[in-house]
Amino acid sequence: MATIYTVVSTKGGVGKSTLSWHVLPAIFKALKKEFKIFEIDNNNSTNIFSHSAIIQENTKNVKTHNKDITAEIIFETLSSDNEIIIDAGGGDDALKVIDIVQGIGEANVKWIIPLNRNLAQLKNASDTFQKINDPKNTLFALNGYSSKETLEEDFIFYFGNKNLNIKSIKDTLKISNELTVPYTSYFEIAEQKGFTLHDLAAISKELDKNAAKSMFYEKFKDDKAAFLQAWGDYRLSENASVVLDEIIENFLPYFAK
Amino acid sequence: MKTLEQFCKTNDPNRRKSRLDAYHDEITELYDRGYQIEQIQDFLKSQKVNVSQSNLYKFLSKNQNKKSVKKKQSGASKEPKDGELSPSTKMFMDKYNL
Repeated sequence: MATIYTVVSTKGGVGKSTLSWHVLPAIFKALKKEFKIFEIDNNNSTNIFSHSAIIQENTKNVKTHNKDITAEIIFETLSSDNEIIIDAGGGDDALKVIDIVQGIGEANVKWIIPLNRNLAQLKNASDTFQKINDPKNTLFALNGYSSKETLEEDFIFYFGNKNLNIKSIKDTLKISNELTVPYTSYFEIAEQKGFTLHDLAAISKELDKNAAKSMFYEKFKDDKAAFLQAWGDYRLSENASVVLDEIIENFLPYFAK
Repeated sequence: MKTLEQFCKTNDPNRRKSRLDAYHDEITELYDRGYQIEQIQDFLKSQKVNVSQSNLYKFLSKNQNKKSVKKKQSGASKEPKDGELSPSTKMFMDKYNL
């Protein structure tokens, strides 16, 4: 049976879309799993990823006022083995989506609550966690660490710090594991091109660097500016690929079964 | 009904063959051993076959062993379909007319 990954938070700007559109699709591609994204809000993310085939082919837009959402999701879980990603809108939409998913009945549901370093948003994430009330199947996704070495310092309110008398919300809520996403501009760089991070990284993963160098030079040996532009585009993809590999490494232990 | 052999006896193939076809094995072997496109070009030159780097690349891409042209995959991230470039890679190549 497919798993329904519900990315949810009552607060906006914490990384819901990053997880739903950049990260989870890339993880499922890496695992060679088919997936479908249900976009339950008005963000129109599919427009942002206009050149991304994996998004355009795997997305279904539904609105929270549409009474058939539950039926749509149930039908998808019964008719295919596709993994399901639900991108829930913020605020009241998030609460409605929690009710909708909990109303599905027997299903493999995993909840992902993204959060950033901000204390107010962490409190919000904690409220969402309690509203879901399914600790075993809920994961926090810490979005935007500077480096793996500074993770606990970056998310000091989540991990706590005994020396500074800062209580750990992780301990309070008895959370055993969390997902982590590094801080990077490459999500937005990919979006500017209508791509997800996966699409941007694919260029350098598929085109051998030496072959690319040779091709650029042959094509643009009389036009250095064009050569530099092409090379710069290729480098963007290489950098995106490094970020993506780090994310995949962070996520795979929880997704590869 | 004509059998395949009967058809072939009475019809010559019209599809143009690449002069690189004769060197298919050597080209892919060199590429798999890590030789650059320009080095393979040098090898072909030594065989009196002059070919541009982009044509050589296209030949490698089109042939059965085109996986050889692609970078060995690291980590778990893979292309969407075996033997096919992602739409983003195709867009990139189209953008620079490669």
